[in-house]
Amino acid sequence: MSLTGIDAPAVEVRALVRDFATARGGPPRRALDAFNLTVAPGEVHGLLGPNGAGKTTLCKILSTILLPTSGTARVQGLDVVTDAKRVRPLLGIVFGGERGLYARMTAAQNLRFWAALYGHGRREGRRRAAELLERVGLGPRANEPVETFSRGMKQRLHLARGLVGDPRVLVLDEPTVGMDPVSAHEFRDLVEDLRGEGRTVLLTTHDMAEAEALCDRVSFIDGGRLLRCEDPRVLGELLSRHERVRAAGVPEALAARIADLPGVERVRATGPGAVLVETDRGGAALPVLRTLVEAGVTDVSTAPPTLEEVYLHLIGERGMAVRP
Amino acid sequence: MIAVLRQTMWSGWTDLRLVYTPTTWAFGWMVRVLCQVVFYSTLGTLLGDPDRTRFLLVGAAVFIAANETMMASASTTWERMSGTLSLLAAAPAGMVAVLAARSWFWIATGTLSSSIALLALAPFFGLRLGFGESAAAVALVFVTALTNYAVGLCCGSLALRFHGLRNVFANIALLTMTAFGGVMVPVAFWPAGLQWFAAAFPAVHGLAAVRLAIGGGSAPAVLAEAGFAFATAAGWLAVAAASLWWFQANARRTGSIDFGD
Ligand SMILES: Nc1ncnc2c1ncn2[C@@H]1O[C@H](COP(=O)(O)OP(=O)(O)OP(=O)(O)O)[C@@H](O)[C@H]1O
Ligand SMILES: [Mg+2]
Repeated sequence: MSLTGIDAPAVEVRALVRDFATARGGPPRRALDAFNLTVAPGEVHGLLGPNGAGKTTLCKILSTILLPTSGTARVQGLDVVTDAKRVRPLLGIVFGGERGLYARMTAAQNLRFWAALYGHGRREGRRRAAELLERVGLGPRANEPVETFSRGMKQRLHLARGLVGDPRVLVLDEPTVGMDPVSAHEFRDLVEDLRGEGRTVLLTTHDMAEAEALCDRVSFIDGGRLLRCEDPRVLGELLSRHERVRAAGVPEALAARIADLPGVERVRATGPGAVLVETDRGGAALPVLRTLVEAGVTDVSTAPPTLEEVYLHLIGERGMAVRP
Repeated sequence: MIAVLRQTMWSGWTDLRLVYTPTTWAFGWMVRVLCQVVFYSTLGTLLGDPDRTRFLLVGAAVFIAANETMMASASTTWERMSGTLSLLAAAPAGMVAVLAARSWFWIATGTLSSSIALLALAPFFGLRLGFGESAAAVALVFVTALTNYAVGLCCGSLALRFHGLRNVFANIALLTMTAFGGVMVPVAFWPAGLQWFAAAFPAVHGLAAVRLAIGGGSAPAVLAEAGFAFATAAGWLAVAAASLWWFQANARRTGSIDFGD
């Protein structure tokens, strides 16, 4: 029996630290700081965090293209530093954006290329390429050069590319960047399929709704540290609890009345007559909307809080200091 | 492994199609090559020295193969432009085989342009080549291109590591081998130290082999030069592999390969 035991976590990160040298010999920048994470086999795990939180750094260490400064990271029980060669075939890597494809080759040729790099022969490579292109909905464009593809199509091809080695663990770093809502929705179905096949998915995203819809658990990361690891329902609850109402043409007296409504955290003026109402209780947005509409304000919309706001609440609730 | 090479050669081929279309190859590159060789050969004619003319013709024509395979240095770094370097580094087959094979097309085009220049221009500058001599010359031009490819790869792997200096390595290598490698003046013209230095370059031996083959040299002498070309190429290949390995290890340590690189 190899080290890749059935019961080994798919991903196990312990006290992981990664420092980067800064220009002109300043103090090193700590991208990951005593980071811990355990992802069970078959789990879809979300990694949420603001820019510079350390998400990509973690993905790169797991992908074996970056060494940790200290601490350990294991994939299916195999150390990504000392056992990198055995880790690589287990992993599928997908990152967002349009790079990472051979623009002048066709979609099918790109996949066959990577199939070969993941150890598949010619026949198997062809079979996989065709199957995956169907799966991501690129079948009809299989023989067109990638440079003629739209962003979203390239992103789908990337996903197919990540699957070409039949990985047990998928590292997806912002895979839906550039996808339209329809594609993003199809992407969710695809991740559901992957879950059904028992694959483990580590998914980095800024999209809280996506994380809530897809993930079994969500880790919040900031400043290279794990803030919290939660059920995504917590995220859903935070999103509805801190819902915001935006309105224009609101007289000052009305704004004052709204500020007194239960569950309204504060009312911010964002322009002449324009306000942003922040709530801190589930369902509090409804009376705000009613009051506004009854007072004849029609230019009204609701929006979920931004990731930064959710973070402030998460950190606030934990009494943690915001990092400098 | 064979699948990796096959797929990589295909990817290289698509790169070539970006560099040349058949028309730009024929009317752009080939015309340039012919002009260059004619220019040097004409220098000999102006000096009124038929031997010198032939010497310059053969040197300039054969070194087209060296010139073109040195472009492997630049095309090695094209991998970064596709943003596939990080994915190659993370793939089980690794990046060495891919980088080593991706620029193969320069060997083919280099052999082709160099042979065309030599065979097409020879009659105009008083060089009579029989069928056997022509065939031997083309084969040895191929050896020159193939072995010098190792030098191109070596410069390319250094160019990946030292991106700011990416053009410097190939230029220095090409300049030294052209200056001291028996292209314009025989290698023997230079002091012994420089002769040894020139002997490190496979293309210098390739050129010497061509000169012997069309100048009535003995078969063992020709084969010996070809053997030297392969032997020195093996050395360059070893340095290229070490340098690629070094590049990867350094990138993993410093984080210089990002997703999308
Ligand atoms: N190669 C590098 N050299 C120096 N600093 C780096 C390097 N890579 C990342 N960093 C730093 O490490 C920190 C974490 O970066 P990382 O890319 O992991 O963030 P992220 O969570 O992926 O952010 P984003 O949401 O913007 O993608 C940042 O402060 C970044 O500047
Ligand atoms: Mg990132």
